[in-house]
Amino acid sequence: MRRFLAQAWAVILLLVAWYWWVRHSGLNAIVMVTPLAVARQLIHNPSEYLRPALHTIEVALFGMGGGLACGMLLAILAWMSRILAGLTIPLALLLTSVPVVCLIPVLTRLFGYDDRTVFVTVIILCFLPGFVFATSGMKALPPMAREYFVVQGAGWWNQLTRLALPAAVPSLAVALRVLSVQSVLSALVAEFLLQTGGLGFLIATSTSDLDMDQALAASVVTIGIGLTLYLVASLIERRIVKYYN
Amino acid sequence: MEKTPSRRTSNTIYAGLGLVLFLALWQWAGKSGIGGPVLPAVSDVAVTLFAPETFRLLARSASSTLASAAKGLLFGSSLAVLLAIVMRLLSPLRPGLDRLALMVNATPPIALGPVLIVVFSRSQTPTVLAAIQVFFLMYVAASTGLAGAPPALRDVMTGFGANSWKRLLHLELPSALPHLASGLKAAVSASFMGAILGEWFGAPQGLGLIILNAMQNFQIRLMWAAVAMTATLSLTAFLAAATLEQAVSRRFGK
Repeated sequence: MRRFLAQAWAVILLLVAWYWWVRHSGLNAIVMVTPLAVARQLIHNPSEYLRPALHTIEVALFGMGGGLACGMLLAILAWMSRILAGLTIPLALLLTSVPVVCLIPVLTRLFGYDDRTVFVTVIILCFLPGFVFATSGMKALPPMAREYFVVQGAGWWNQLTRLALPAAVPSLAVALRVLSVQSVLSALVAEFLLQTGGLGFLIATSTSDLDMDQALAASVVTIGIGLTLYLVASLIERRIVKYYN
Repeated sequence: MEKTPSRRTSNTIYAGLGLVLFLALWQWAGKSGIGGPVLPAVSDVAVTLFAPETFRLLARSASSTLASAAKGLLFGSSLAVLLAIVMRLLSPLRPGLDRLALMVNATPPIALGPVLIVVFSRSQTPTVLAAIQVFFLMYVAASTGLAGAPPALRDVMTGFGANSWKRLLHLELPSALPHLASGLKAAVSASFMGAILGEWFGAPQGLGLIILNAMQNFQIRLMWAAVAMTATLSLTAFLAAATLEQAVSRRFGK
């Protein structure tokens, strides 16, 4: 019980404050609902959230996979050529500083009003972290490992596949954890804007129908998905780090 | 790994070449029509951007977005640092607040938007959303930074009779500064994201509003000009934060 309270006091406090505020602010239920109403909504119609949730999870996971793969590909190219590594600096700076969410309208015009744009959004979000983490992993080699490979007459292919790529795996696991929540949320923003499907679409329609129960219940489902993915990614990361040490 | 000056120079040259290559590719793609009518050449975007009328509009919107992002950055990071300090002094409470911070970070901003409009107002929503986006990053940076002071130094201070408040002021806060500066670098871009997303929920003005409206009304060049403006602002802010980070880590880093 004590442990539970130590972990959950802030969340409980927030829920109580929310409940108290809705009760005493005198706002209409159309504008603001209590946490109890949201919980009721989730318990009574869980099936309404299942399909959109699966859709969002699918886009987020595939987008993350695609983005990390592209980032890794560029990391390999940059590993082979310093000139190429230098040429990518402006693009990397741009993608670090400009929030991907601001680009969704542009992507929508480029890729059209469908799921492809949601997918591309998540890919772009994950691309740069994939590149950065893979590069730092490929550089963090055990001392003298590269020299040893060279002395043994290993060609660049062997150096890449047997030394640099395995060294990049733990860093990529970190990228997976860092990106887990963000991928879901970015996919959601894109779905919200494009109205193609998934939880973002559900939130968009229920907000415009003034169905706040449903909108907030869908957000709770999103939080659940994000935190679950984060937890799974952390477990994978811990496994990999343990294996490597 | 310390980079030699000559290596840094050659990297700068390559980066400059990369920028030229990027702009040239964009120009070619726009002029050849490979991306269709939705991808104008960079020169056309520049002409739209610097046309007096659009530039005035974009500058006005930019100052409003910038104000929201800056206020959000200020409020979000002050609250984060303050709470991290309180949690440092009342450490049994920390796991609970860590959980809450994680949850806030996983909350979809598009769901917060409609709620914030009710609780605050349409014009304040960008600021609040920016502050929320900043909060998590700065809270994580501050709490890891405060916990990261060398234990030996802490023991020495305790041995000489320093209480937890003195330790905080003279040891833990200074040694947290490099973490805070790195957090700030990430938070700058998060604050822009929060401000621009917040503007989608009916803010009276701002770059996010222009980008979205231009997208919906098929004003392709205006949309790209607004995106170019946003990119310039966030890139400048990011570079400023990166410079600050370097200065701080030179002075306070290990």
